[in-house]
Amino acid sequence: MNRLLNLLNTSIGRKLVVAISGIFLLLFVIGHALGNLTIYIGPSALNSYAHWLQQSPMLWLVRLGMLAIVTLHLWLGIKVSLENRSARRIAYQAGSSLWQRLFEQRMLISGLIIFIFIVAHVAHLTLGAAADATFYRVDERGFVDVYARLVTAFQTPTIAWSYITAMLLVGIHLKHSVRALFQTMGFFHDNYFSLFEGLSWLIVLFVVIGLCSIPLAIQFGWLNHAVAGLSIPSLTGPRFA
Amino acid sequence: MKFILSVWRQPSATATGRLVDYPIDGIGADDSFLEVIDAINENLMAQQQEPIAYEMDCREGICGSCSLMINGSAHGPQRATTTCQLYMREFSDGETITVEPWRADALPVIKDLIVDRSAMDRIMQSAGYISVHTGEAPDANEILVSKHRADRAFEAASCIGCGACIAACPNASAMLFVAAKVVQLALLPQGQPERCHRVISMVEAMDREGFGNCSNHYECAEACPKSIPLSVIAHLNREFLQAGLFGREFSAAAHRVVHEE
Ligand code: HEM
Ligand code: SF4
Ligand code: FES
Repeated sequence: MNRLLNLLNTSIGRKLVVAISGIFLLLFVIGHALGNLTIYIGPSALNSYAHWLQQSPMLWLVRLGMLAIVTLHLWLGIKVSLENRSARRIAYQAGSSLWQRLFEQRMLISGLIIFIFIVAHVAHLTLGAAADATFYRVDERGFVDVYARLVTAFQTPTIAWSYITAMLLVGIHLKHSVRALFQTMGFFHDNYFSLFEGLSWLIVLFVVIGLCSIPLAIQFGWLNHAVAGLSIPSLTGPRFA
Repeated sequence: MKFILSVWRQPSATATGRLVDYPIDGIGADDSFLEVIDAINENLMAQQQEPIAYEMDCREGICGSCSLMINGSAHGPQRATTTCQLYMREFSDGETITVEPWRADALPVIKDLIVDRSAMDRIMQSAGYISVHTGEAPDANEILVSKHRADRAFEAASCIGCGACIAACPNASAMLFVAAKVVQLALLPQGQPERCHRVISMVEAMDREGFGNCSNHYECAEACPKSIPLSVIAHLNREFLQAGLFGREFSAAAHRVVHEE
């Protein structure tokens, strides 16, 4: 134990913890995207998936685990970034432009915004802050009607576009981190460079396109036919006629 | 060719510095960058002014002392080149060229363009060596090393300790330097007895000096005049993890014990 704590006190050890917690977050995001994509199969598929999650005895274990992992990742990510800043307090005169500096800081910036997003997202779609009646709807099988929840929520353009922006930031975060992961974990070789580069694009495109497509589809009414049968006031606008 | 060198002048470690413009004419395209500074210094001395302080020694790209940030690039625009091996044909006539010292809190400016690189020496002193009995040179090929390993060790060993990787890194991290110094010995039979001790001590020493952490920006390998490959950093991470999990305990007290055995 003492040995592991000592590992955490070194720069490489801290980076390893950021990377390992990042792997869990990455797996979570991929799983989350796969699950949410069941929306395209139809309301009952998404609601069954959500029901399966909600009745799982592991639910709270996973939730608490994710909370611990996010906290660890956030804390060490910020700590590492602050250390990096203080390692060069006098900047170069012929230094980088503002855009370059923002680019260099993109992990911290995107990470912090993602954190704010995670809090808002959980409050919005899990806890139901500012929820109306549709939030608590159940479908004909008695499963929570997550489908109606999503369609109602993403009809509001500001909500849909904030989710899309957040997913693009997740993309920026992951584009750097998937390849970096291998290096941090010590698994990197010049021969594999393009393999890891390709893998990181694959994961990023899947996560970003997959997750962005849902609010986009609802905004542009691509899912209309599927909700035609729902008699929710908010779902019967001209779009959902 | 004509140039204006905008050079960082700072009389001492504690004084505040600023960029001063020095116009210079009559430079040949095949003059090296250091020769331009020399020409400016001749003029300054003729006018009884303090010449620009900068570091150099070999002027053939092997000592690593000629460390300058040129237009925001470590060792200037040409890849895999030290400042002394950089020629003015790389610049356009009439260009204003900004020349600054390395910037890292761990490498403080002593004067003008010279920084104190003792932090890098202290990392080497912590364990960047092998302990051997000196005496007669051993017979060649007494210890066999495969060609592949020897090549990779040699590649890492070509690090000249110039510090460009640190200067170029947005985090002022010394990972490429430390990785090269760890890996060159980790790959060879002579480096095995102190392998765990070495990697942990050198990383701890690096941390003590206040260098930043590696964020995988990969600027270091771009800037390195000896083209040390990025993969040495992954190799360092691997060495460190292995030693951390299975090797000896951390902390200064622990390695003293190892040495006294
Ligand atoms: C909670 C908000 C988050 C913050 C504040 C944050 C912050 C950071 C920072 C600052 C780094 C880079 C550390 C460095 O300088 O090397 C990092 C790395 C990483 N992040 Fe995040 N992050 C967050 C959320 C996420 C999420 C949701 C994922 C996955 C989808 C993720 C995946 C990763 C991975 C895999 C790495 C490791 C990259 C490496 O090995 O260098 N992060 N994070
Ligand atoms: S790794 Fe390259 S840039 Fe860094 S000190 Fe060695 S030679 Fe210089
Ligand atoms: S003066 Fe020795 S490397 Fe340039």
